[in-house]
Amino acid sequence: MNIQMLLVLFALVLFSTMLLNTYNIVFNQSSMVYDNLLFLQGQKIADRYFQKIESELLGDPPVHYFSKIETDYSNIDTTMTVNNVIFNINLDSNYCDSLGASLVFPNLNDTLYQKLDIRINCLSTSLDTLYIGTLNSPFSKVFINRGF
Amino acid sequence: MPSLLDVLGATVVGSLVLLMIFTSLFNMQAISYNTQLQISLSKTSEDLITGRKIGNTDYLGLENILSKVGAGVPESDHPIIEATPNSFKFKGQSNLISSISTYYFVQEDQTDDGYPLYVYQNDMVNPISGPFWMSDPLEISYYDSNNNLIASPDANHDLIRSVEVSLTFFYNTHRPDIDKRLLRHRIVFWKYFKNLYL
Repeated sequence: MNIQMLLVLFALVLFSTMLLNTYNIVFNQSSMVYDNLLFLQGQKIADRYFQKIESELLGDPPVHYFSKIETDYSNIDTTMTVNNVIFNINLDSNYCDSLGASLVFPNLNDTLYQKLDIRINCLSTSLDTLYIGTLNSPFSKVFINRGF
Repeated sequence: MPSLLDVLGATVVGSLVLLMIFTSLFNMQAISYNTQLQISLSKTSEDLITGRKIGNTDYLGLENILSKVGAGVPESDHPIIEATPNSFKFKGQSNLISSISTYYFVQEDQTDDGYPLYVYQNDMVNPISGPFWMSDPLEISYYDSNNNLIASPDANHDLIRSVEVSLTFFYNTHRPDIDKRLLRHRIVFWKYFKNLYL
């Protein structure tokens, strides 16, 4: 009797472990999907900044001159709240060559191109930090001085 | 008698285990179904925002349509005709050789299915896209060249340089009728009208 009961309890414990694992996998999948939605929103935020800067460089006179990109977006941190999620945004613009490579010995004449890097993070559904564009792989765009 | 008690005990324990198995299976199916719906919702929303290609036909997305604001429109004619939180009518050229079209991007009155979103081009009776059903009203915010929110956009067409568009799509979850719940997908995107900056 006692052994039987122990075996039943043991079976229940084993079964519960399997069930917990399965639940865990399903929840992981679910949080991956929800994190992807945050990732998608983050991409749209990055696109907003790229569009904004591109537009402000247009016109004669433009809203902002080319040099103002580096002044305004020199490693600055800002936040944006979308759908009650706080996105922490880092923007960093530097003069570069036509391929976006950093200038090793920049001089005053190297002001034709600038590369803007955008890194975003927010709190994921699993309460970890979700990185949307990292230090080594940011969202980047090279802007050219059109001379407006 | 002890045997009968054993049988009854085993039945109770067995029933509890079975109940746990079935409840777990149901819950897992519900979570998987909702996850699948969420993926489908985000795909639908991206198709609408960025466009998609079916066969050889390109269906333009809202971003593409909004990029035509003011394209080819002479300076004497202002390209924005209507700018409200749930509608936006404007003029623009769809390509370099086409004539100037009038586009209308509007959320119409709520029905039992939700708020329908339509896109019209020239013909304001037959939409080129829609209805796309939304759970919440369309929200369009208008900004000026300094990125300040325009409080009365319909009275200040000349100031508009960009928009923030917020869309909320939805599906019913697996729960029918009683305790009916909605699965929502809310996405916000921005569009700067480059033709208006030039």
